[in-house]
Amino acid sequence: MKATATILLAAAQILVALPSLAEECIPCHREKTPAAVRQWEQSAHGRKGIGCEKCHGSDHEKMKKGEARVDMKACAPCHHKAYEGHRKSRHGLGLHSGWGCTRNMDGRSARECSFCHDKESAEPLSSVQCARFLKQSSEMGEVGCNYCHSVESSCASCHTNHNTDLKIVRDPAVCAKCHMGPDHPQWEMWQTSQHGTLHATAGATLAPDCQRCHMPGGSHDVSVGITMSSGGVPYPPDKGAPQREEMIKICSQCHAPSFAKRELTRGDAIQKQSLTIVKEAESIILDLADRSLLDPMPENRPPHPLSGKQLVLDSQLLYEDTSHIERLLFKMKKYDYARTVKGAYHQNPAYTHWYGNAELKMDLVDIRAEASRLRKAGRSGGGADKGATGPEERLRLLQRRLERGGIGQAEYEAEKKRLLDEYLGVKK
Amino acid sequence: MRIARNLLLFIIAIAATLLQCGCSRLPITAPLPQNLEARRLAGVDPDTPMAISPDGKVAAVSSSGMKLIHLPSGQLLEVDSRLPRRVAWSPGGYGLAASFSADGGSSIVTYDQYGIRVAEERVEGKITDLAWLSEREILAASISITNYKFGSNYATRLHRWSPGMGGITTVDLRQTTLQPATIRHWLPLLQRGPRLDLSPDKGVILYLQPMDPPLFNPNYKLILRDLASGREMEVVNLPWNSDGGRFSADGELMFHGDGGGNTTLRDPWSGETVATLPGSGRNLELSPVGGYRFSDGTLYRDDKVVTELAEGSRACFNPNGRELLVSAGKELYLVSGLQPEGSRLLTTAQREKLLQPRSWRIEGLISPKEYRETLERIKRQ
Repeated sequence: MKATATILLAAAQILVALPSLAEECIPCHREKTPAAVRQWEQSAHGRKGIGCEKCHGSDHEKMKKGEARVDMKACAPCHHKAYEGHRKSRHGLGLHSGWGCTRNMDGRSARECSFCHDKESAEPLSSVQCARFLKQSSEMGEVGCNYCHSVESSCASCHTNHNTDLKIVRDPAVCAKCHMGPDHPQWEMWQTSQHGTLHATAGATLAPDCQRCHMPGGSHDVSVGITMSSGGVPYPPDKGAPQREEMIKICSQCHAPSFAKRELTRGDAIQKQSLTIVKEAESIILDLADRSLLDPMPENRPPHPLSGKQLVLDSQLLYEDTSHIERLLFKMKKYDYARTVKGAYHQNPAYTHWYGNAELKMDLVDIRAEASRLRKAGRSGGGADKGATGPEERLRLLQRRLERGGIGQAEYEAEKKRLLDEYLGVKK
Repeated sequence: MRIARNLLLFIIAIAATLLQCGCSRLPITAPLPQNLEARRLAGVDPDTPMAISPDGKVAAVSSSGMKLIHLPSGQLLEVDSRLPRRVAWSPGGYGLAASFSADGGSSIVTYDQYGIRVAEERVEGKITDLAWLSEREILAASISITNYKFGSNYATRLHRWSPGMGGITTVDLRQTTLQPATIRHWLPLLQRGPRLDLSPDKGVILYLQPMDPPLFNPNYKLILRDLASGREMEVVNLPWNSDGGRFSADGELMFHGDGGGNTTLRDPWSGETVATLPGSGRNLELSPVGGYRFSDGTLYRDDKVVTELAEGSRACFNPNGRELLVSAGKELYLVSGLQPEGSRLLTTAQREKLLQPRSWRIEGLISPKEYRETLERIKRQ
């Protein structure tokens, strides 16, 4: 009798704990999407009886059309603290730097609209667009851009779709999907630093990983302690100093604060030195553009998706449909500058020097050489705009410098007067 | 008695009306003021184009074909049986160019100084303006109007041709979409074309660019265009019935009518108004030095009326500065006795030195003040 009662109680517990068995979805989806069902069954959601409809809703037609996406708004009511932390972090801005409106572009998939717009809403969820994304095909945009940048609105980007096991998101490998490769290889930097080596050999209790430093205490604000923008521009002191204090507190869990401060200050110095090199390269290119020496000039190539026929050297810089020297700057800024600076902050000597600093300086050699070649070609080309040797070309050059803020109004006026005097044969 | 009184009043009313109409303008053969004298030269086609050779002796006109008239003797020589739309003499007088309509388009024909045909080239559209840039190169403007359901495309083009040296090169000046109502009401005005005027140094043109925005009245922009670079500068907005602008003899001022009763004298390089003068500005011609101005049948000396000739008549100043060729209806007259004008012109060297500053001004590389200072310094050199 006692045994029968125990069996009945256990059965009742199972029925309460696994309401999915009673749901309509499971029988079909065990065949149609077996991996999803298996993962859900083993997940905390499954164990606690959070059924399919809780996240997906109950409109099966919408689901079949792909209109029942589970984004972070579905997770927020239960995981509010994580949602709030995520929203104010750089991950919460992921889409803002990685998407753009494609409605006027040829050959794009209509379902892309739902990435930025709620159904039947013309109001974009994000106002910032990305030129590099807009240059891609629909497929490349989805796989090559949004598989990472969907982190803004999709918890599944890190947590995976149906398996909510915390082991997954507490493993630094989960970050590697996006934080690797030529542009910001933080995962490799960590992995091959002393932190990473210790982590691999002595275990997580003796060495920090991504989550320990960037998600302290389980916070979803991954931007805590960061002192520069995603484009590598240092924050102004009033914004950077409190962030630095936060990072020193994190480092001080293992190190003396003075040590942490010294290491991070060295990183700051390396960043400043590296930025000076990038700025020199930018000024070389701006000067060439002033003289119409870029090959091709912006007016003679496909328009920049956001700025049209303008020269763009800021964070919307392209690596395609551009001049060779701008492509060199792209590598310098997006790859080598980022590797130098992030390598320094991650205490990785090889990335700081050989993958970063050495490449950065060699980029500058290449850019100077290419500029020299363009100037020579301009002089020998003899075109009206080349070389800026006649008064007209020099007036044009002055005007472009004024327009981009390279010189002030007073210097512009004085130089123009000097050129007109020269034209009229007035000797000083 | 009463009938006689009514008859007298009627006769007085008729006479008064006739006097009003007849006395507002002198018949062109009537005695003219200030020692001017008019002599009938020939019968011409209405709206004949006119051009006088640089030596002042021969005029090209349309008179049942294209004819040359020897001005001193009035002798006529037919050079082409077709009716010319525009005629222009080369700067040295060694060449004459004329445009004709031809199979839905136009042709430009050049002749030597004796009227012997030299070369001919076809152009799409209707040639509306013709000028010589040098002894060897011709500049022409044309229009093409293509009608669609939603409106019409009004295209103006610029053609350059060196006869005997190759084909014509063409560039688009403007492509404008005109609304159906605009075309319906204003087609005769639009067919006049861009009303191109070439600066005396041959470096810059003035032309009208039509604008027909949906919620505003159609209007023109008066544009300065540097021929060498193709760069342009907008001078002023003008009403739809304006007749375009004309450079003064030194290119430092321009005249344009407001489409009503006034002509504006303007600094083209700053856009500023210099003076407002009487006269509509239609059919505007300026004497070689610029002291005389002819507009819509009225001859002015500076801002004073010299005489009013037949209304709607058009004129062409003789490069000698002493005569005026006037077409009134189907008659051609030579008005002589114009007073000599003192030279206020720039020298050739000064004009050449100014070419570049003008181009810089159009491109916005120098300010109006800097242009004016540069001009004054060039004048002093």
